[in-house]
Amino acid sequence: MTRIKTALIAAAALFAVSGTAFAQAGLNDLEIAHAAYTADIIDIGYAKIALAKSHNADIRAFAELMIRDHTAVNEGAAALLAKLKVTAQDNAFSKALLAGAATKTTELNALDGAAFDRAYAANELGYHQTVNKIVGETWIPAVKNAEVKSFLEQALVTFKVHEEHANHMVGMLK
Amino acid sequence: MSRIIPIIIVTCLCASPLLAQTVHQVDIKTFAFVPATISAAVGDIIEWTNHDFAPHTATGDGWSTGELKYDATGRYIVSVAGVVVYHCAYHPHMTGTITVTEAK
Ligand SMILES: [Cu+2]
Repeated sequence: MTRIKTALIAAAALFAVSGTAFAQAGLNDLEIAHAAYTADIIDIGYAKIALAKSHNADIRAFAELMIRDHTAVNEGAAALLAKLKVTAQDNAFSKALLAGAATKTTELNALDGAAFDRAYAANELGYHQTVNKIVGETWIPAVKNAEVKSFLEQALVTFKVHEEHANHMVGMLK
Repeated sequence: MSRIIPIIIVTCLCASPLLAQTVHQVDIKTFAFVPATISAAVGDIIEWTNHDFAPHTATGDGWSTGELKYDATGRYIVSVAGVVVYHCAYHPHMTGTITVTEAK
């Protein structure tokens, strides 16, 4: 439980969420599925901003990769939920993720050129680090359904590749 | 979700239909080609199946399976003896090698 709290607090700090009382309780499987889906949608949103604003070939290629991979993960999630005949459940953590993303989107939209590229890359690194920590340390151990667990494990493999790639990109833009 | 399975035959120049073609299976999982190294004879078919949610490709010099989504399969017929090095166009750190010998 302490670990769950730590992860959620870290997430709250990163996403600049204040006053949202979501840290006290663990999420159920369907809430975790919803939050994972939401995290994917958010990263696709960031990538779309990058494609609209950046002229840097590496940034654009990374953004295209994010859209391709996160879309595929969400298709996998939708297929699994359909197979299990369940629906993902909205929850306070998903809402907190979206609130944090709205703030970050405003920040990114205010930047241009190299400053935008650096901010986008840094955000991609921080976002994947945070989400990966939550997925790996909190959600995968907490999830009860074996198929949802294996889905998250697969998704985490993809997200870790992204984290590494983002880390490389941050280094290149220095 | 609809699963589209593109069967892409990039090269089909020299394999006579009378020759027995061996199909070599390569799995793509957790961002790796498994096995990463295979041997084949000229005219053989290499078949990749992607087990990752993330789309991948097997792409070499002048050929590609194109995008392979989850559960999709793509093929390539090796046509020249030698060492064929390929990679994933989306994740270039993913690499594989096919050692191609003369037709049996
Ligand atoms: Cu790939």
